Amino acid sequence: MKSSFSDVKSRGEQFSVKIETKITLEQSPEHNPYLVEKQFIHGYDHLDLLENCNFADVIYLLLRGELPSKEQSILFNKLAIALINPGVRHPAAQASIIAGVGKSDTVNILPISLGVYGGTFDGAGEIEATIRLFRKYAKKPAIEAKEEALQEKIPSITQHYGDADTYANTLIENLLPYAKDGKIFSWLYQLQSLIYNENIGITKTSICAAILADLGFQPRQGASVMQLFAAPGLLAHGLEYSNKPLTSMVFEPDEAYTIEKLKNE
Amino acid sequence: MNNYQDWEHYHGCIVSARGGWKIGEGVQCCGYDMMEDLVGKKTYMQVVILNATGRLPSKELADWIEAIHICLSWPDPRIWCNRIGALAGSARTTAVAASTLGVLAADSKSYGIKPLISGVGFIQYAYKEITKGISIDDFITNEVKKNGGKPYLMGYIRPIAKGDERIPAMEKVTKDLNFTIGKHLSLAYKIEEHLNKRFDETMNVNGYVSAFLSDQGYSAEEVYRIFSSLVISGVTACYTDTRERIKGGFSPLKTSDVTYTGKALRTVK
Repeated sequence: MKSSFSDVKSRGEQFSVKIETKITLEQSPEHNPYLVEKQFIHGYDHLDLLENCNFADVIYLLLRGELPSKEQSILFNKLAIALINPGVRHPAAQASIIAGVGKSDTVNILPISLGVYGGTFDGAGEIEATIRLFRKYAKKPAIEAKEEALQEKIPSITQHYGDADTYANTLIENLLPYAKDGKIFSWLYQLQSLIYNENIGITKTSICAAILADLGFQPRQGASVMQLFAAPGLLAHGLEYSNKPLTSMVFEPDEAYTIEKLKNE
Repeated sequence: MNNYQDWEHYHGCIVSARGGWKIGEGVQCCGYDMMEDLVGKKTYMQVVILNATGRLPSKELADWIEAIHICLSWPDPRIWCNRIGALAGSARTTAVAASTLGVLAADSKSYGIKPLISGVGFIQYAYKEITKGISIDDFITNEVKKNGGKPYLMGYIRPIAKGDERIPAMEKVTKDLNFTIGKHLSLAYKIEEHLNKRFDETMNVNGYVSAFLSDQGYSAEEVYRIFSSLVISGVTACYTDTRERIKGGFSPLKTSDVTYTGKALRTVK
């Protein structure tokens, strides 16, 4: 028996012949069309932004197409700082440290740690689904989502190391003054008040999802923005170890290394 | 009693069922002594599959899987993951960075490695449904309905081109290695016949691999893990080509090559 249909013919699909963008406009000097004389970002002269804006505002502009209002700018900055350091124990920070102490090329430290931060354990891996679901669920009172939340059927509402995440609870309280006008953040805050005492709770991912959704970010932007926010903390830990000897990192002794039998052996 | 006992089990130690290096004693690999049982006795691909699944395959099956790696990693820099490698060479990254970044790109729902999960899932689901008694035609009709009337069955239809030259190449490998056609692959061919008659569409290499490996007893997740660096060779090839040309020489763009469709020029203040 074999496939009778293996002749290959082009479908003749029309691919674009030019890159098209709403973000960047570049103008060249007369003597070289590959060089740049002026660059504009969503219509703003790059040098105008350099002179008059802060870093986070320009990130916001790049991703949303408009500079943030004063309130949006404050909230975006606060969220970025809330997530800036996943902490030295986070698997992504440990990966960063391993890359640093192992003398991996330093240009690879950030991609390595951000890749690990892209997982679903206390990272960015579930945020796209979380934003989608929060946008839908926040149209109804939080109480209606309580049972699903307690059964951990809502993404990024869960336990962390067996209990509700205490630090996520601290962060949501501290972000409340800046984010309380957001419909989805308010819904999440109410949900947290309904479930936290039952030892299930929000996570840093759910906080990020709610605030980004309120700021108008799309689900597919969520993971990358969360990675961007966490990058400085992850990088710092890797670089801290990049000048240290290999022996400065844990290498479990053989006594602490158990090789189990494979289930199918 | 606390709620973190599960983590205490792993605190300060490593527990692995895959193996490890006991200094002075040797290296264990999924129940085998690496130096005694594997090195020089098993092929690299056999050990790749052992590490991905915990089961050591026959040399013939590992050779089949190696052949499909060749089919799915060709050095055309227009293919998305390969283009990452070519751009990385042009930008003068290291070969390792370029190759792994290309592999990361192929962790995509649209092409590369992830569709194998859906491909294996699809043919195993199809087999179960058809075994229950539904006709192939009705099964296809149901699946087409799920996709808004379009015949987008996982493992069938190929972007850019119709037909797949890799299938006859792999059919020859299958025959040369003395594999027989199992129940999933047999069904895959029958679905192809119906799909071709009704929609003028055919099986793609994903469908062939998914059905063949289902017949070999692998799950979708196992297939995904076996193929986790599937495209790397083509990416390295594309990197190597552009790394040996002028810097920035791959797909250089003039400012006039880009169409700006954004906001009119404005000022911050």
